[in-house]
Amino acid sequence: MNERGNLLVFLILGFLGIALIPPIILAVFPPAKILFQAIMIFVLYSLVRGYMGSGILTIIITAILVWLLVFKYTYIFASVYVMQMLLMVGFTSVIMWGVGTSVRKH
Amino acid sequence: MGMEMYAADFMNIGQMLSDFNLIIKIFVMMTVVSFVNNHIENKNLGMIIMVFMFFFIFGNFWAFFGGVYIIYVLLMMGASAIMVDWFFMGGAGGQQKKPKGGIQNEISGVDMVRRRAGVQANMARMGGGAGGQPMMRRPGG
Repeated sequence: MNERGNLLVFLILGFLGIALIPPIILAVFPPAKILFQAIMIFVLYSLVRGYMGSGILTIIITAILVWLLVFKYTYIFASVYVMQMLLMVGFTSVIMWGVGTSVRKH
Repeated sequence: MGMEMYAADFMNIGQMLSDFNLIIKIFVMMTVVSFVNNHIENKNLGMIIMVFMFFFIFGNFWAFFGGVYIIYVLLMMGASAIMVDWFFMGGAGGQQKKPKGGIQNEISGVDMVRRRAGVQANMARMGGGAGGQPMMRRPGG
């Protein structure tokens, strides 16, 4: 495998490592899980209301999304949500820069 | 309750993909409703267009529109920055190899002095040069 291939593997490993941090925190500290679920309920309701406006349909869609994302797939959603946050603030560039420079030193 | 549940999610991958498909469909539906409400003020016309779009998107072309929606969301979130960084890092990773042996590409004052000294040493060894042309010397030097 050439240097670009190595870099790609290390970048994927770096992103996977960061994506695994939220589920581990939620599993190790149960209060963090409750806090995360409470925050996500508000976030989802706010998101759906932004799309649909206030109404009964908003409540129904929020309930479906909360059940699926917050309660059924809590850990996967935590990973995805944190990665999305990092992506939106541009932190992925820092990750790529850090992993890339570390790999090239060796 | 804990990480076992996390692993259990991946065990039942068919159910998980089905649920994620439903979630994406809900988000697409919300996007369409928001788009129509923002662009069409007439409620009845908006309803007709919405139904038409739902029929079109969730019908036979869902595989296409679902993929396009995911790409659209990723681009809106700034996923293109990842690609830009990746190409920068990959491009910088392949360092230029220095030529082995022969004359090196970089030219500096020190390099020129060394070359000139080497040529002079060769010519001195050969007894003044085969062509009879000695190295250029400064007048009076």
